[in-house]
Amino acid sequence: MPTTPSKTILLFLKRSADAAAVETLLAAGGATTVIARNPEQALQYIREGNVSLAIVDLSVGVLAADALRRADERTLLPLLFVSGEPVPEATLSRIYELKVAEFVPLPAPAVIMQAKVELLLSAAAATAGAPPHARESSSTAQHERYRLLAKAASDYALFFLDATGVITEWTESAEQLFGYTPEDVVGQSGAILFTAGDRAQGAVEAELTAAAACGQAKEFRIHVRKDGSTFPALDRTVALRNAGGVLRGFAKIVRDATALQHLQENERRFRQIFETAHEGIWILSADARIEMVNHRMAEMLGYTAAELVGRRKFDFIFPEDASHIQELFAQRRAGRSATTEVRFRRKNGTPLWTLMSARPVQRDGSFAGTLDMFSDITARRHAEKRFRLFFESSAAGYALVDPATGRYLHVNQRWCDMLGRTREELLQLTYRDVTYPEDWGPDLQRFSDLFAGRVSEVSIEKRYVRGDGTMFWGHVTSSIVRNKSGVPEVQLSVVQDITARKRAEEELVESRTRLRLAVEAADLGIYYYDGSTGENAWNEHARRLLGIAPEQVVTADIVLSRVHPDDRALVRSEMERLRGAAETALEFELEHRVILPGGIERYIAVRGFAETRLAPDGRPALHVVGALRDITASKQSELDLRNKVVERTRELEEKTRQLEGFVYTVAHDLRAPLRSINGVADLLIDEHGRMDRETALANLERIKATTRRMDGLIRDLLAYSRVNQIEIALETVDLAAVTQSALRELAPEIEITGANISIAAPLPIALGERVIIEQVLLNLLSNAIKFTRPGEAPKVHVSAHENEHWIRIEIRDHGIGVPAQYHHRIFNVFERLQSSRDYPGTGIGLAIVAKGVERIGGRYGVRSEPAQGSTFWIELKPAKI
Amino acid sequence: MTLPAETILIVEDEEADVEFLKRAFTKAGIPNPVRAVYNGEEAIAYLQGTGAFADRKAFPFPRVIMTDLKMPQMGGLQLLQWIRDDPSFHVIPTIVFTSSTAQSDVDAAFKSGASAYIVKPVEFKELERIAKTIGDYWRLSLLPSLSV
Repeated sequence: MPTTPSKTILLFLKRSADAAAVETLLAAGGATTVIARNPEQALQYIREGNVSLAIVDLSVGVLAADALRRADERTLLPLLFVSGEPVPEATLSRIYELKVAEFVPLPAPAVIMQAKVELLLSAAAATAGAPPHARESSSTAQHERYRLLAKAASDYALFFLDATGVITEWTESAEQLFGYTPEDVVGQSGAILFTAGDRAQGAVEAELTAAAACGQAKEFRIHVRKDGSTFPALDRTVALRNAGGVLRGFAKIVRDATALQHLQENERRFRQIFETAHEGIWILSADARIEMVNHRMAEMLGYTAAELVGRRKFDFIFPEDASHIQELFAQRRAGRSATTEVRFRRKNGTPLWTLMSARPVQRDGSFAGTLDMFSDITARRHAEKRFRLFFESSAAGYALVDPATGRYLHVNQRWCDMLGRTREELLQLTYRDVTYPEDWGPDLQRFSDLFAGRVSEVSIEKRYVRGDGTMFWGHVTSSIVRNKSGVPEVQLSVVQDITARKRAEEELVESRTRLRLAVEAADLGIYYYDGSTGENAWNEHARRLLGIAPEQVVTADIVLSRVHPDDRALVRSEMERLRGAAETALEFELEHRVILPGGIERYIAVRGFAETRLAPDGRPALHVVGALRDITASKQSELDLRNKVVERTRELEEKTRQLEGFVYTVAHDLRAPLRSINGVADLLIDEHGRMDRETALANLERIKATTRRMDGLIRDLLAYSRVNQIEIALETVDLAAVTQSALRELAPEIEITGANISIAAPLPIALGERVIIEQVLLNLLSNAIKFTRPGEAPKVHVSAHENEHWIRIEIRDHGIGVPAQYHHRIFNVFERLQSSRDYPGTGIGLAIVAKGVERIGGRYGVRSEPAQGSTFWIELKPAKI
Repeated sequence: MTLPAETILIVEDEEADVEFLKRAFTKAGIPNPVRAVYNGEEAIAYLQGTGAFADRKAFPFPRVIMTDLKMPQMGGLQLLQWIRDDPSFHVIPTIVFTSSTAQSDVDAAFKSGASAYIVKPVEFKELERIAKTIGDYWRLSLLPSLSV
């Protein structure tokens, strides 16, 4: 950018920040600036005559500014007004009336500011460099300055027109830009530089008229070169008047806007990027003053951009960060770029965490400031802080593991506590060191899947080893954080201690196993009906009890189909009753028969309870738990027992009845001899003295005979009783020996009656009770000898027959016989067929036979007809040798 | 009032009891002739006048029968039933005279048509009193006519 080395620009701005910003801008263009703090100071600078341009805050007022300009009478001091506030159109018009004056809104891009400054300086120079008739007081130095400027400015063309628009002076810059030589154009109308279109529209005249009226006119125009080519340009036409105000002509500055257009385009683009950037951006001066700041940065800090420009970055930090930030800035000064996290202080006092990417700006080999870009990472910092809090305060163990080595990179306190190790200890260890050895193999497989990316997360239950060597169960969830190229960077593991749960699970398994064993041991079938799901679960044994196949779905109908038809009504009514179960459990217990496939009938006892519970969805649902048991065996034995009891009861009743009969009979039969004795004694007493001696003796003899009879009766009763009472211990009994023994007893009767006893030897050996068998044979033989017709000698034959089940002994006589209708009665106690007058006896003998044989499990009977003799027989169990 | 021709038939297998009863009747002043048989079969033969009892003069038709219950072969209950079931003899009053005090025997006896049931006493004095009561009863009561 062409500049004059001596130019000094006066800055008279309301706010020092604005002054600093503009100063910075101009410094970039190589201009020398002085800053006036007040109007007096400004006047001072101007009167010293070194000021070539003044940049004035519009707030000082247009007229006050004009007064400043007039402080130096020699020149028309160019004025550049600036304002951070919107400016009304009327004010702008008054600015242009001041001539050689321009306006730039703040903040202004450097190029704009510089372009304006340049333009104003050019215009001033042009005015100063006017021909002698136009500028009486022009100095040689000024003219020379203008010449150099005109020469150096390739994109500016300066030429002069007279009041009618004819070109009067054509400078080198004009020649360069338009291609015309002074000879070509001096004396020609300026219209030759216009396009045909502009000329036709009267643009040439309009421009001059406007300039004459307003002091100057600005136009953006397409100009035509000598070679006919065109270019965009900024035209400025300045009316030149003499001291009396008479219009002498015009100075015209044409600026090739081709480059400017490009520049503006770049500026616009930059501005667009700058303003739309997601990052905050600012440009700092060498003393850390904010020269330029984008909207995003301002927003991040909570200020407007205007509030920030000119202030130092240290105004926006926390005191405790000052040294750190100064140090960072020193690094920039030393020429180093860096990306660091930096904290700022927002307008509202809250912290702004940023990731700062800072780059030093060098100008002419020296430090000129920095260009910093910021990302707001406050949210991330919060998240990090929260994460750290979470990480540290979590009830779960957290650990970051280096995937390459398995070494712990970071662990939270909880994880240290869980492992019973200090943090320092743990950070020296690897994942494997704390893994229960048996679980390492399975772990390896799972984690290799994780590292290989086959799974995104691993969630397993495994055992860990504490510092003291004890073990605990943990549930670990692990995931991998990878870098951009997919290489695992860190493994994050979250571990929860599930020892208690695991123990509970083990106990549950244990108790289930115990329950199952108990159920099996108890031979119980178990079923469970869940009304909320309709699930009807029957264990294997329960199915077996009802003959239901393992895969068959169990329904009430299936169950009923297995129930014995006679019991179905019972089971169905019980099912109905259970359906009405309220929340309080209804217990049930019933027994029924089932018919299994194949027609096998079994007895089943069912026991359980039913209740209505609310399902998760709030509906009431019936739950039934039941236990089935096969009670066929116990039922059978119960039935057997009942039958046995009935039978026993019947037997007992029979016995009682027999006993009653026996007691009456005994009483009857025992009283008879007593009555007899008593009666005879009474007779003897009554007739004492009247009865003759012989009769008395005969009666006394009767008493004796009766007592003998009574003694026999009592003896027989005792024998009968013994047969009844004797403890049976079955033994082998030699029937031959027993028969001989009985016959020895009967020797007196045999001798008296002359009985003929024959025995068909050999008699076998039987199973029985010796005493009983001897009693039985004794009575049978005694009867056989006794019941013979009067005058006949008894003839008795004893024989035995044997088959594999029985030994039969027969005692045959040739006596009086027994009528068929009395064959049964004769075996009863005291049953007699003959009067004791004819055949004395007690009526007990055959009762002893019957009872004795019964007691040793034998049988007895008689074949007889009157006068044909009798054959009494007994059957005994053979002795199996 | 005397009943010189009215015979008492005693059915009893115990000789002593027959003897004592006869004596008791004598002592009680009952002159009626007494005949004795020793079981049910003999009693029926006596009533029918068959076998050894064909002579009605020696074995006159009885006006009352006294019977023991327990006897060899046919006992007292069977005899009572036989008498009850026979239209010729069912009008004969029957007195059961037994040592049994069993209620079952008492019930069975009356069901079988017994007119009275008397338990044999041990004391002879008591037997005398019973014989007298029977005699008095006989004297006072009217008896059915015998169609035979």
